[in-house]
Amino acid sequence: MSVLKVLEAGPTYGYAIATALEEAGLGSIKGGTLYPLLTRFESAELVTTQWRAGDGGPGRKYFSLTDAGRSELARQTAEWQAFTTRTLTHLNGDTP
Amino acid sequence: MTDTKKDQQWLTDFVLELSHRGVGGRDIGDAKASVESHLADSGESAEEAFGSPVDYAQALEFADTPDESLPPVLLPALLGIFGLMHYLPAIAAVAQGQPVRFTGTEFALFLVLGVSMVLIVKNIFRLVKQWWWLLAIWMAVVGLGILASLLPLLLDLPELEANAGAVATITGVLLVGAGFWTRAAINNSEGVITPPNAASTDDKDGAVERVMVALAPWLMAIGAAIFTVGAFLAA
Repeated sequence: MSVLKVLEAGPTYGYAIATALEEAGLGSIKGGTLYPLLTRFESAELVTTQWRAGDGGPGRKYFSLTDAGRSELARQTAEWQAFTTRTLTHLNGDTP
Repeated sequence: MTDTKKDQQWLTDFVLELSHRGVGGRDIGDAKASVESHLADSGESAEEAFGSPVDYAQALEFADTPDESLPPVLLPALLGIFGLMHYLPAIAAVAQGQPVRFTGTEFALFLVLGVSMVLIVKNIFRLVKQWWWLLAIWMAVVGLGILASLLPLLLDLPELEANAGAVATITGVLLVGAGFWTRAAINNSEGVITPPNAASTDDKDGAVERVMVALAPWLMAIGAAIFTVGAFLAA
């Protein structure tokens, strides 16, 4: 969900996604965790990809959110918000 | 950049594992380029960023179903070996002006080699990672080869005599045919395809790879040609 959220701002590449997540306080995301997720997103057509030439080094694979990806982000965000609301209600001892 | 030997070895193991799983050339090229790109950006080692190459390769789920059939070059390679095993004694006999003699050993050797090749192809990654498997298969092949060579003497098998020129011609045609078939199989197979724009601008591997791919189908024919020249010079 957080990866899809980073992509909502526009197309970007793997290392930039990992950096954005780290800057958001979500910890260091290793390539071994991030790319299998991005590959699954690609297989599920939540993102499209495009290789862009690198500047003196290897190229970069840019990921862009599709309409299906935006819907999935909205669905997961709503689920997460409902879950955190229920959990906070429970932790605060309130009745729903 | 993936300049260190460790990273290169990691990438080789990674590509081998994906190939072993039957992942297509485009997906392999894309996954390999993604690793190289990430390493160039992060400055991390491959092991540090992605962990074990085998585990990482197994974690990737591609849209296309992996193809687990035997590689298409296997059949022409077997045909080439069959041709070569019969061409060499035949052309040696031609050079000496004698008929060629077969005992059935050649067929036994061919069967041993054929089965070995299929086993090796099906278990290539295990063989690369665990050298004793390769040693075990090699010892089995050599052992069976020696046994097949000694059997005619031990059992006093009758020899089949044939016209050396005819056998050399037929098996020579088989060798050249196997070369063309191998080339067609290589052309039809994808290999590892690097996505456009993904390669580094100073990529130097392309030329060597192209020469190796161009030469590979003709290695047995080239070997046979060299042997032929040697046989006639020695006669």
